[in-house]
Amino acid sequence: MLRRLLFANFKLVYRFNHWLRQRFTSTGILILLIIPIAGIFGFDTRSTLSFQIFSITLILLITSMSFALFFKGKFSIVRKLPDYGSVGTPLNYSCVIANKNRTAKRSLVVIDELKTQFPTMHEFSNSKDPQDKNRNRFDRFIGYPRLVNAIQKLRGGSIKAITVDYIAEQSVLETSIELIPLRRGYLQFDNTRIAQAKPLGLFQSQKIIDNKDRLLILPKIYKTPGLNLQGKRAYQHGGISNASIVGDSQEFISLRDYNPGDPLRSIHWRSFAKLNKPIVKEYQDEYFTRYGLVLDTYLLNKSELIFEDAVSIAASLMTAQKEQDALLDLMFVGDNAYRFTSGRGLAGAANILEILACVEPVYESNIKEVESMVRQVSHECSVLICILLALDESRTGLIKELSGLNIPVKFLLLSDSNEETQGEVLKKYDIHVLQHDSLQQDLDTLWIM
Amino acid sequence: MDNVSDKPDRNKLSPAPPGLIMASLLLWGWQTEFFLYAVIMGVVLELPIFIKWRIDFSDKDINQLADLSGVIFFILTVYIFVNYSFQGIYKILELMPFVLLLLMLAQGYGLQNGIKTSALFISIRRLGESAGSDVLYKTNIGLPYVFICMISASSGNKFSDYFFYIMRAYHCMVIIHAKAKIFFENHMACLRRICHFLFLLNSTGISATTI
Repeated sequence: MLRRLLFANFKLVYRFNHWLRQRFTSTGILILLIIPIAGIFGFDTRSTLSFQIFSITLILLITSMSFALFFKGKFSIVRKLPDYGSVGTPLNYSCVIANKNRTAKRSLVVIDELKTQFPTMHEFSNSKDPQDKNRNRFDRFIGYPRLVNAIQKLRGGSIKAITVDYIAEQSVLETSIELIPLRRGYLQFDNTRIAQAKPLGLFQSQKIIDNKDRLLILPKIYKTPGLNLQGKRAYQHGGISNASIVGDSQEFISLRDYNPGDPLRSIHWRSFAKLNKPIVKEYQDEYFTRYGLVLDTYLLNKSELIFEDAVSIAASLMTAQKEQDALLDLMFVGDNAYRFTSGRGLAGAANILEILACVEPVYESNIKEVESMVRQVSHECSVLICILLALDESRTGLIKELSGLNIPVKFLLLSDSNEETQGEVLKKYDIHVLQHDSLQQDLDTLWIM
Repeated sequence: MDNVSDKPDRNKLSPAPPGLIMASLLLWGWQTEFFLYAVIMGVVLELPIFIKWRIDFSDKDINQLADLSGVIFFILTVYIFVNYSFQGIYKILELMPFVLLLLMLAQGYGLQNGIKTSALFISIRRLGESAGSDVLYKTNIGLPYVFICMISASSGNKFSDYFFYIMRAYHCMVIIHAKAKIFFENHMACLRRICHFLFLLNSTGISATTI
């Protein structure tokens, strides 16, 4: 009950804080802070003169806020977003602002806004903030900083406000805005605010323009070694053309003379006409390397950062340079079992990255489903790479099961820096541990099997 | 694009206008009878405008200076409460410019050009570099120091009429500094008159209260 009450109040506090930050300039906030201090000390007018400071600052603020009511302006804004961005990498997009007024406008501030989403009570209770361990007990118990972080994560990015010094009447101006994406997935743009802090520079009057849009943010990509694993090529039933186009299950390799018994549909009519003897097309069954990349999504009692690392590594491996004809299967279990194939004319890296951008962790064990999915497809795979989030009993079972397959399997285990990473299982199955704090260094020393 | 200026520190405090720290310290010294100290402090704090000599303080140094200021404040509070009881709160208020002097010196003579919020708040310091940019940033404490000097000066409780006019002038300086670019537009003259009118009303109210 207390938690619910606190949670409801937190939302109000957050909204108020957000409003303050948007509406008041830095000097305005300073004056806003001075008012109660001067008011408290100035309560006894015979002891101090700070009531005079109180009254001056209060009048200044009221004057500034009153003028905000008279801000008029007709603007339109068009956002030009790139196709996608990457987590943590600042990206610039442009905004075309049209001043439809009969007067020029000066000292405008353009604030582009991402949609603010609040977590539900359940989500908030279950959320884990890696920064919590550095916070004091009060903050940890109350949880407001955790809520702020959760909201920022749901919002997904931070956008710097920009200042437009001058825009002429009935004219347009193109500006560049910087966005720093904080999470992967789709970011929802909500509105754009045009603000002006006239006349006293303390309080901003704002014009809110509804401007909805969305932008895909891809997982962070690390530099990974090229996928050159020593797996055998496997026979692909139906050939890859079966997957990429509808038609024959064999692949054309050359032309040769007709032999009795060759099907008529194999005759190459153009060569027949040219050489005046029957020539047929020769096909070959497909054998090629197919990598299976298994992503563990079951996250329990571990930081979401570990899951983000796992997704980033999966994305990095999917985009890493691989053999020209190789295929790469991405497999994971979410609400269903998913298997996506890329390479050789199938889905490109961009499609797979889009899928990875939207993968969410699962909080109920799905290791059995992963095991059965991998068992079904293992005969087609030349090599398996398995990215694990933890090493518990069920996962140890999965490792044993996969190690029993007749193909090379490489296990990557994501770990917090303070986690125990020594053990029999690690040595026995050659599990490569990747630490969160030194991910790139660990990837640099990653195997070539 | 020429008309667009990217000001990422839009929400960060700008430095105090040149001379305002000196002026506010003089007011404080005048009101609280620390005039000699105020002159010395004012000169020392305004000197970085004219000289280029700087010290390369590390974050740890600044943190230690902030901690030392905190300890000085604590000892001062205990000492004054023991000697002056509850009325001592106004005495503490009077001495606040002394307490914050170390941090102001570090800002003025340091290469960092501001004080990190992690130096001022232990909770942010504990988060380390992992703290978000919305809580961990450098801020200039010049303007807050000016306001602290003003409130400290008010505790001297002398020459109330002059104090009020000087306060008005200082607030105008702050506003002019914040709005330096557009202050001289035509309509600002009109707005200034309105502000003057409001101040006069305010002044009448103060006189009535004082009587």
